[in-house]
Amino acid sequence: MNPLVPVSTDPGRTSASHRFQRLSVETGIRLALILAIFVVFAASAEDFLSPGNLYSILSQFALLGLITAALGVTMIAGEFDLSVGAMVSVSAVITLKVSDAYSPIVGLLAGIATGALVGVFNGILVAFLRLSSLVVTVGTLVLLTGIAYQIANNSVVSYDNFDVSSAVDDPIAQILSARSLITIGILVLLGLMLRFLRGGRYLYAVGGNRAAAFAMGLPVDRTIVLSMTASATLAALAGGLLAFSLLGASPTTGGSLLLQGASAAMLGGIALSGGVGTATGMALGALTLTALNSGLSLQGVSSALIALINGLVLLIVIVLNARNLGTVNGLLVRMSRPLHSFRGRTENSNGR
Amino acid sequence: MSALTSTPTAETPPGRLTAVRSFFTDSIRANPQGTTVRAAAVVVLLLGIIAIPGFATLNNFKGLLASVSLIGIAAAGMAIITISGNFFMLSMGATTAVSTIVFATTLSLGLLPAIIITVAVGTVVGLLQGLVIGGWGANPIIVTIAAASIILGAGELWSGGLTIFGDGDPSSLNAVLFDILPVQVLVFFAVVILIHFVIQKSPFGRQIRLIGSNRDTAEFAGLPVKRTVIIGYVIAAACAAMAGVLLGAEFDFDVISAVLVGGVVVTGGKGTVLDAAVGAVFIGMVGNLLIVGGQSFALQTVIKGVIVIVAVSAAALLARRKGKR
Repeated sequence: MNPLVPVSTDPGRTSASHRFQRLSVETGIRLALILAIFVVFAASAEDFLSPGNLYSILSQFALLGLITAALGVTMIAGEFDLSVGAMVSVSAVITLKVSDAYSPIVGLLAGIATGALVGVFNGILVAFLRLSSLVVTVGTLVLLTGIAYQIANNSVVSYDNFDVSSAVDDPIAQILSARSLITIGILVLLGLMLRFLRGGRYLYAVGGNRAAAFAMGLPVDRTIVLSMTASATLAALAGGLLAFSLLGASPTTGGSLLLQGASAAMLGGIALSGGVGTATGMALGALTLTALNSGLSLQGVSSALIALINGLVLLIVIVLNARNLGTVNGLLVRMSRPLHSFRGRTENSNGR
Repeated sequence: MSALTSTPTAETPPGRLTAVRSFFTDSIRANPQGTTVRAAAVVVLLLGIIAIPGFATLNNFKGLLASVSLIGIAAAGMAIITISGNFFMLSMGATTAVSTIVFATTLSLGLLPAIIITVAVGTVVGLLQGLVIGGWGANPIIVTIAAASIILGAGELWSGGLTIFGDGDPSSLNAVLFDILPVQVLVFFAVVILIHFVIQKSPFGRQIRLIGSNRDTAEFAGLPVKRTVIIGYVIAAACAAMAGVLLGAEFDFDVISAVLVGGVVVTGGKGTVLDAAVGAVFIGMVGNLLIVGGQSFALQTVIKGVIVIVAVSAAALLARRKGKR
């Protein structure tokens, strides 16, 4: 081996077996956590494991799973998309309006296309203007909220086509539905893409060590644009399907999704510092949170207390993560100075 | 820099115009975004007075000043967080909303005790977040998102989800001096000027700015980084609580918009509290103009979003050009 040739900095390839071991231990811990939640709630509420409740958990998972995937894809790339909640609202409103005028398929496609457009816009601003994704997505958040109010005309949009809601929500094998199957399918697809496609590997490289990725000649800008586009598109899909399920949408539909999505992604082991995380983790994180919330509300816990508990869960996860990963420093390097800080120099900007 | 270029010409009478011009070019060069927003605010003000009937009335100005004050007080606090390199405090709106509840429940004790208790509660909330973020090193965005949920949940549990009506007399807060200056505006001016000078002139302010522009250097220089960040969060949350005393609303993204449009840079270390306050005035004025002009809340929000995106994009392009030169 030539010692002058640098070893690959792609974290997925350097110590694959060691990494795989660590990841599977982490996945094991996550599975144990979900099992614990199921055991505790099943023991204390007999309805918890009933097909009806499992169906309801999976329906909530259908929404949260997509949002977690949206946030997860940007987090792996070392960015963050604050506008996912607003994107859900806009897409929900557009989907119903267009469905009403044309057909449900066209409506859903219109919602998804809007998402892709917004994502490309976000991505171009982040990648080519070297802006922090936080700043850009705060701007699009406000903009999208306004657009949602404008299209919905300040009120609730309703759509009385019950065929659509039964198409997405009718139980399949008692506990599944078309909506939850779509989410599961997309998470599987995302997992395969992250693991086996070159673009997926680029995502880890760009998020894990952007300076090294750039120095190796990887398409850093394109990868960032793609991840922001994937994020907004997934959020838009979630919004469209939610609107079909509720047969209604309002400018505030996406309200608390950012908190839940971020909690689920962190629970699933997606690191804010970028470069770490899997689709399995996202799925497990989303499932943990939906199971927890479902169990709590079965116990008769008020929605205010559930919001408080969700916040505490997120806080505990982030506090535990902070010590392991040194997130603030990593985040400062990767998020606030996306590229320009190391253009022209190639030293490791990984922080500590 | 401005002293060097403008003083020699100012001595000779024909050079006075050049002196004025160089004053403007200097301030644009030193702070392009801040100067642009200031100029834009003046343009919007003139436009409103000339083109929109009902804008230039005493009552409208009072309402405008009051709403700008609330956002401005919170923006002054938010600016500290942004300057210190910790992006945004996404729990600010929640703190403000819950502070209103605290204020209303404690008002029976008297006005001053109620204010003190409310700001003290806000301080504790800020201290806890500061400890987790500054002391423990957790991610500022996620911690404050989580804090927002906890604060709102706790507030709702405390109030039982009901509206709380204060039992006391807060009327002196709604007093209006000289027929035109609401008390909120005086508080706004006082808070902005105080924090501006603290950040620009005091050792604490210099530490905040150095931590924002280069945290590693600040650590190597032996500055009390953790303590400084924690104090920053305490002040910011106290500002949010003060806004809650004056009138509560959830307005996180209005405040962030004000900070960003005013020219406080999210990478930290750049921009001043005054810039953020000017941003609040500008955003508030545009919103008011649209309302008085008969436009919808929706269009108002769309335009705010566009302003934020255009402002940050233009600043990024400008910084890039500067870097190439």
